[in-house]
Amino acid sequence: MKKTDLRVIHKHNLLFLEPDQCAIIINGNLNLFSHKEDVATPILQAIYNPGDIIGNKSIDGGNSRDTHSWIIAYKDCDILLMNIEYCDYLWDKMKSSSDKNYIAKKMQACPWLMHLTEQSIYTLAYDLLFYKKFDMDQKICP
Amino acid sequence: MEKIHVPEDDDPQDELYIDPATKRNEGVSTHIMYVRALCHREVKNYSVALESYARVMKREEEISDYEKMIEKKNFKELTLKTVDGPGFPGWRIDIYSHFKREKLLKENNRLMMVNLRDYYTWKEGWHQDQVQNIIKDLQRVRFFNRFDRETLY
Repeated sequence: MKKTDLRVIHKHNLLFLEPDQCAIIINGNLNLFSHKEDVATPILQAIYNPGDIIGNKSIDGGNSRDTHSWIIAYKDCDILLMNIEYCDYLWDKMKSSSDKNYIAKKMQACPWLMHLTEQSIYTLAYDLLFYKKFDMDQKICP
Repeated sequence: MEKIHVPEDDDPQDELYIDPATKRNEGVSTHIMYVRALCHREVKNYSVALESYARVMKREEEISDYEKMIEKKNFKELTLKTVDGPGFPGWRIDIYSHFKREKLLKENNRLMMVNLRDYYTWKEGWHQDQVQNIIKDLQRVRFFNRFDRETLY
Protein backbone atom coordinates (compact mmCIF):
# COMPACT_ATOMS: atom_id res chain seq x y z
CA MET A 1 0.00 0.00 0.00
CA LYS A 2 2.79 2.36 0.97
CA LYS A 3 4.46 1.74 -2.37
CA THR A 4 1.48 3.02 -4.33
CA ASP A 5 0.16 6.46 -5.21
CA LEU A 6 -3.37 7.55 -5.99
CA ARG A 7 -3.91 9.56 -9.15
CA VAL A 8 -7.04 10.93 -10.80
CA ILE A 9 -7.27 10.97 -14.58
CA HIS A 10 -9.77 13.69 -15.34
CA LYS A 11 -12.45 13.58 -18.03
CA HIS A 12 -11.03 13.70 -21.57
CA ASN A 13 -7.48 13.44 -20.28
CA LEU A 14 -4.91 10.82 -21.17
CA LEU A 15 -3.04 8.33 -19.07
CA PHE A 16 0.70 8.93 -19.39
CA LEU A 17 2.95 6.39 -17.71
CA GLU A 18 6.68 6.53 -17.14
CA PRO A 19 8.59 3.45 -18.40
CA ASP A 20 8.98 2.04 -14.87
CA GLN A 21 5.38 2.69 -13.81
CA CYS A 22 2.18 0.75 -14.15
CA ALA A 23 -1.37 1.56 -13.10
CA ILE A 24 -4.30 -0.35 -11.64
CA ILE A 25 -7.80 1.10 -11.93
CA ILE A 26 -9.77 1.30 -8.72
CA ASN A 27 -12.64 3.60 -9.66
CA GLY A 28 -13.98 4.36 -13.16
CA ASN A 29 -13.03 3.19 -16.64
CA LEU A 30 -10.30 3.92 -19.16
CA ASN A 31 -10.48 3.38 -22.92
CA LEU A 32 -7.59 2.17 -25.02
CA PHE A 33 -7.58 3.37 -28.64
CA SER A 34 -5.16 2.17 -31.28
CA HIS A 35 -4.23 4.36 -34.26
CA LYS A 36 -2.18 1.62 -35.89
CA GLU A 37 -4.57 0.91 -38.75
CA ASP A 38 -5.80 4.43 -39.46
CA VAL A 39 -4.46 7.55 -37.78
CA ALA A 40 -7.70 9.50 -38.13
CA THR A 41 -10.02 6.64 -37.20
CA PRO A 42 -8.67 4.79 -34.16
CA ILE A 43 -10.05 1.46 -33.05
CA LEU A 44 -11.35 1.06 -29.52
CA GLN A 45 -9.33 -1.93 -28.34
CA ALA A 46 -10.14 -2.18 -24.65
CA ILE A 47 -12.30 -0.78 -21.90
CA TYR A 48 -10.37 -1.12 -18.65
CA ASN A 49 -12.35 -1.74 -15.48
CA PRO A 50 -11.40 -1.67 -11.79
CA GLY A 51 -8.73 -4.28 -11.13
CA ASP A 52 -7.22 -4.10 -14.62
CA ILE A 53 -3.47 -3.55 -14.80
CA ILE A 54 -2.15 -1.11 -17.40
CA GLY A 55 1.41 -0.61 -18.58
CA ASN A 56 3.00 -3.91 -17.59
CA LYS A 57 4.12 -5.65 -20.78
CA SER A 58 4.59 -9.05 -19.22
CA ILE A 59 0.99 -9.07 -18.02
CA ASP A 60 -0.96 -7.41 -20.85
CA GLY A 61 1.21 -8.45 -23.78
CA GLY A 62 2.36 -4.86 -24.41
CA ASN A 63 -1.01 -3.60 -25.74
CA SER A 64 -1.12 -0.58 -23.46
CA ARG A 65 2.53 0.31 -24.19
CA ASP A 66 2.25 0.21 -27.97
CA THR A 67 3.45 3.35 -29.79
CA HIS A 68 0.04 3.91 -31.32
CA SER A 69 -1.97 3.20 -28.17
CA TRP A 70 -3.63 6.07 -26.32
CA ILE A 71 -5.58 5.68 -23.11
CA ILE A 72 -8.46 8.12 -22.55
CA ALA A 73 -10.72 8.75 -19.56
CA TYR A 74 -14.28 9.64 -20.58
CA LYS A 75 -15.13 10.30 -16.93
CA ASP A 76 -12.89 10.98 -13.94
CA CYS A 77 -11.03 7.80 -13.13
CA ASP A 78 -8.93 6.86 -10.05
CA ILE A 79 -5.86 4.73 -10.51
CA LEU A 80 -3.19 3.35 -8.23
CA LEU A 81 0.29 3.95 -9.58
CA MET A 82 3.08 1.60 -8.69
CA ASN A 83 6.50 0.51 -9.76
CA ILE A 84 6.49 -2.31 -12.33
CA GLU A 85 8.80 -4.37 -10.12
CA TYR A 86 6.34 -4.16 -7.23
CA CYS A 87 3.49 -5.10 -9.56
CA ASP A 88 5.51 -8.11 -10.75
CA TYR A 89 6.09 -9.09 -7.15
CA LEU A 90 2.33 -8.99 -6.44
CA TRP A 91 1.57 -10.87 -9.66
CA ASP A 92 4.08 -13.62 -8.83
CA LYS A 93 2.76 -13.87 -5.30
CA MET A 94 -0.77 -14.22 -6.65
CA LYS A 95 0.34 -16.99 -9.00
CA SER A 96 2.07 -18.95 -6.29
CA SER A 97 -0.50 -18.64 -3.54
CA SER A 98 -3.73 -19.96 -4.97
CA ASP A 99 -5.11 -23.15 -6.42
CA LYS A 100 -6.74 -20.97 -9.14
CA ASN A 101 -3.28 -21.11 -10.66
CA TYR A 102 -4.08 -24.69 -11.68
CA ILE A 103 -6.98 -23.49 -13.87
CA ALA A 104 -4.80 -20.77 -15.40
CA LYS A 105 -2.05 -23.25 -16.26
CA LYS A 106 -4.59 -25.59 -17.88
CA MET A 107 -5.97 -22.68 -19.92
CA GLN A 108 -2.52 -21.58 -21.05
CA ALA A 109 -1.90 -25.09 -22.34
CA CYS A 110 -5.10 -25.00 -24.47
CA PRO A 111 -4.27 -24.23 -28.12
CA TRP A 112 -7.28 -21.90 -28.51
CA LEU A 113 -6.56 -19.92 -25.33
CA MET A 114 -2.78 -19.81 -25.33
CA HIS A 115 -2.71 -16.50 -27.25
CA LEU A 116 -4.65 -14.62 -24.58
CA THR A 117 -2.63 -12.28 -22.39
CA GLU A 118 -1.71 -13.42 -18.89
CA GLN A 119 -4.07 -10.80 -17.52
CA SER A 120 -7.02 -12.21 -19.47
CA ILE A 121 -6.17 -15.79 -18.49
CA TYR A 122 -5.98 -14.94 -14.80
CA THR A 123 -9.14 -12.82 -14.92
CA LEU A 124 -10.97 -15.81 -16.34
CA ALA A 125 -9.39 -18.18 -13.84
CA TYR A 126 -10.04 -16.03 -10.78
CA ASP A 127 -13.30 -14.27 -11.54
CA LEU A 128 -15.25 -16.14 -14.17
CA LEU A 129 -14.45 -19.84 -13.96
CA PHE A 130 -14.35 -22.40 -11.22
CA TYR A 131 -12.71 -25.77 -11.20
CA LYS A 132 -14.52 -28.94 -10.26
CA LYS A 133 -13.13 -32.44 -10.39
CA PHE A 134 -15.32 -35.39 -11.35
CA ASP A 135 -14.72 -39.10 -10.83
CA MET A 136 -14.58 -41.48 -13.73
CA ASP A 137 -18.08 -42.47 -14.97
CA GLN A 138 -19.68 -39.86 -12.72
CA LYS A 139 -22.83 -38.35 -14.19
CA ILE A 140 -22.54 -34.59 -14.73
CA CYS A 141 -25.74 -32.57 -14.47
CA PRO A 142 -25.28 -28.99 -15.67
CA MET B 1 -18.81 28.62 -73.99
CA GLU B 2 -17.02 25.81 -72.16
CA LYS B 3 -17.69 25.70 -68.46
CA ILE B 4 -14.58 26.05 -66.28
CA HIS B 5 -14.30 23.41 -63.60
CA VAL B 6 -14.06 25.00 -60.19
CA PRO B 7 -12.98 22.52 -57.46
CA GLU B 8 -15.56 22.09 -54.75
CA ASP B 9 -14.34 21.78 -51.17
CA ASP B 10 -17.00 19.22 -50.24
CA ASP B 11 -16.03 16.64 -52.85
CA PRO B 12 -13.73 14.04 -51.15
CA GLN B 13 -12.20 13.16 -54.55
CA ASP B 14 -11.16 16.76 -55.09
CA GLU B 15 -7.55 17.71 -54.45
CA LEU B 16 -8.70 20.83 -52.61
CA TYR B 17 -11.08 18.89 -50.41
CA ILE B 18 -10.67 19.64 -46.70
CA ASP B 19 -12.04 16.97 -44.38
CA PRO B 20 -14.17 18.08 -41.39
CA ALA B 21 -11.45 17.20 -38.82
CA THR B 22 -8.90 19.38 -40.63
CA LYS B 23 -11.45 22.18 -40.91
CA ARG B 24 -11.97 21.96 -37.14
CA ASN B 25 -8.19 22.14 -36.56
CA GLU B 26 -7.90 25.40 -38.47
CA GLY B 27 -6.39 23.76 -41.53
CA VAL B 28 -3.93 21.48 -39.75
CA SER B 29 -4.50 17.88 -40.80
CA THR B 30 -5.34 15.13 -38.32
CA HIS B 31 -2.13 13.32 -39.29
CA ILE B 32 0.05 16.30 -38.39
CA MET B 33 -1.72 16.76 -35.06
CA TYR B 34 -1.27 13.06 -34.33
CA VAL B 35 2.45 13.09 -35.13
CA ARG B 36 2.81 16.21 -32.96
CA ALA B 37 1.09 14.38 -30.10
CA LEU B 38 3.33 11.33 -30.58
CA CYS B 39 6.54 13.41 -30.58
CA HIS B 40 5.61 15.37 -27.48
CA ARG B 41 4.59 12.22 -25.62
CA GLU B 42 7.96 10.71 -26.53
CA VAL B 43 9.87 13.59 -24.94
CA LYS B 44 7.48 13.58 -21.96
CA ASN B 45 6.01 16.95 -22.79
CA TYR B 46 2.65 15.64 -21.67
CA SER B 47 0.64 18.87 -21.64
CA VAL B 48 1.40 19.59 -25.33
CA ALA B 49 0.88 15.91 -26.19
CA LEU B 50 -2.57 16.08 -24.61
CA GLU B 51 -3.41 19.37 -26.30
CA SER B 52 -2.44 17.92 -29.71
CA TYR B 53 -4.13 14.59 -29.14
CA ALA B 54 -7.34 16.33 -28.04
CA ARG B 55 -7.76 17.41 -31.70
CA VAL B 56 -7.52 13.78 -32.83
CA MET B 57 -9.27 12.15 -29.89
CA LYS B 58 -12.50 10.24 -30.44
CA ARG B 59 -15.27 11.46 -28.17
CA GLU B 60 -17.96 9.12 -26.84
CA GLU B 61 -20.39 10.03 -29.62
CA GLU B 62 -17.75 9.45 -32.32
CA ILE B 63 -16.62 5.94 -31.38
CA SER B 64 -18.82 4.44 -34.10
CA ASP B 65 -16.65 6.16 -36.76
CA TYR B 66 -14.51 3.05 -36.92
CA GLU B 67 -17.54 0.88 -37.63
CA LYS B 68 -18.53 3.22 -40.47
CA MET B 69 -14.99 3.01 -41.85
CA ILE B 70 -14.89 -0.78 -41.93
CA GLU B 71 -18.43 -0.84 -43.37
CA LYS B 72 -17.11 1.17 -46.33
CA LYS B 73 -14.14 -1.21 -46.68
CA ASN B 74 -16.46 -4.22 -46.57
CA PHE B 75 -18.72 -2.86 -49.30
CA LYS B 76 -15.75 -1.91 -51.43
CA GLU B 77 -14.37 -5.45 -51.16
CA LEU B 78 -17.82 -6.87 -51.78
CA THR B 79 -18.12 -4.97 -55.06
CA LEU B 80 -14.61 -6.13 -56.02
CA LYS B 81 -15.74 -9.65 -55.05
CA THR B 82 -12.70 -10.20 -52.84
CA VAL B 83 -15.04 -11.24 -50.02
CA ASP B 84 -18.28 -13.21 -50.25
CA GLY B 85 -20.29 -11.28 -47.65
CA PRO B 86 -21.07 -11.05 -43.94
CA GLY B 87 -19.74 -14.01 -41.99
CA PHE B 88 -17.35 -15.12 -44.73
CA PRO B 89 -13.55 -14.93 -44.42
CA GLY B 90 -12.26 -11.40 -44.85
CA TRP B 91 -15.52 -9.70 -43.73
CA ARG B 92 -14.62 -7.31 -40.90
CA ILE B 93 -16.67 -6.50 -37.85
CA ASP B 94 -16.20 -3.91 -35.13
CA ILE B 95 -16.17 -5.91 -31.91
CA TYR B 96 -16.96 -2.84 -29.79
CA SER B 97 -20.17 -1.98 -31.66
CA HIS B 98 -21.12 -5.65 -31.74
CA PHE B 99 -20.70 -5.98 -27.97
CA LYS B 100 -22.52 -2.71 -27.40
CA ARG B 101 -25.53 -3.84 -29.45
CA GLU B 102 -25.60 -7.17 -27.65
CA LYS B 103 -25.38 -5.30 -24.31
CA LEU B 104 -22.27 -7.26 -23.33
CA LEU B 105 -20.20 -4.30 -22.20
CA LYS B 106 -19.98 -3.53 -18.53
CA GLU B 107 -18.87 0.09 -18.64
CA ASN B 108 -19.30 2.01 -15.40
CA ASN B 109 -20.08 -1.13 -13.46
CA ARG B 110 -19.84 0.28 -9.96
CA LEU B 111 -19.86 -3.09 -8.24
CA MET B 112 -16.11 -3.19 -7.66
CA MET B 113 -15.28 0.50 -7.68
CA VAL B 114 -13.99 2.08 -4.47
CA ASN B 115 -13.27 5.65 -3.49
CA LEU B 116 -9.89 5.97 -1.77
CA ARG B 117 -9.62 9.75 -2.03
CA ASP B 118 -10.66 10.21 1.61
CA TYR B 119 -7.54 8.34 2.70
CA TYR B 120 -5.10 10.24 0.53
CA THR B 121 -3.61 13.74 0.70
CA TRP B 122 -2.02 15.00 -2.48
CA LYS B 123 1.76 15.17 -2.27
CA GLU B 124 1.70 13.69 1.23
CA GLY B 125 0.40 10.24 0.41
CA TRP B 126 -1.71 7.78 2.37
CA HIS B 127 -3.00 8.59 5.82
CA GLN B 128 -0.94 6.13 7.84
CA ASP B 129 -3.50 5.77 10.61
CA GLN B 130 -6.13 4.69 8.09
CA VAL B 131 -4.18 2.03 6.21
CA GLN B 132 -6.43 -0.70 7.65
CA ASN B 133 -9.51 0.98 6.15
CA ILE B 134 -7.80 1.50 2.80
CA ILE B 135 -6.93 -2.18 2.59
CA LYS B 136 -10.45 -3.21 3.55
CA ASP B 137 -11.87 -1.06 0.74
CA LEU B 138 -9.21 -2.10 -1.72
CA GLN B 139 -9.99 -5.78 -1.21
CA ARG B 140 -13.38 -5.15 -2.85
CA VAL B 141 -11.60 -4.46 -6.15
CA ARG B 142 -10.74 -7.27 -8.54
CA PHE B 143 -7.05 -8.25 -8.45
CA PHE B 144 -6.64 -6.86 -4.92
CA ASN B 145 -9.26 -9.33 -3.68
CA ARG B 146 -6.74 -12.07 -4.44
CA PHE B 147 -4.45 -11.01 -1.58
CA ASP B 148 -4.59 -11.13 2.17
CA ARG B 149 -4.28 -8.07 4.40
CA GLU B 150 -0.60 -8.65 5.20
CA THR B 151 0.43 -8.73 1.54
CA LEU B 152 -1.37 -5.48 0.78
CA TYR B 153 0.01 -3.74 3.85
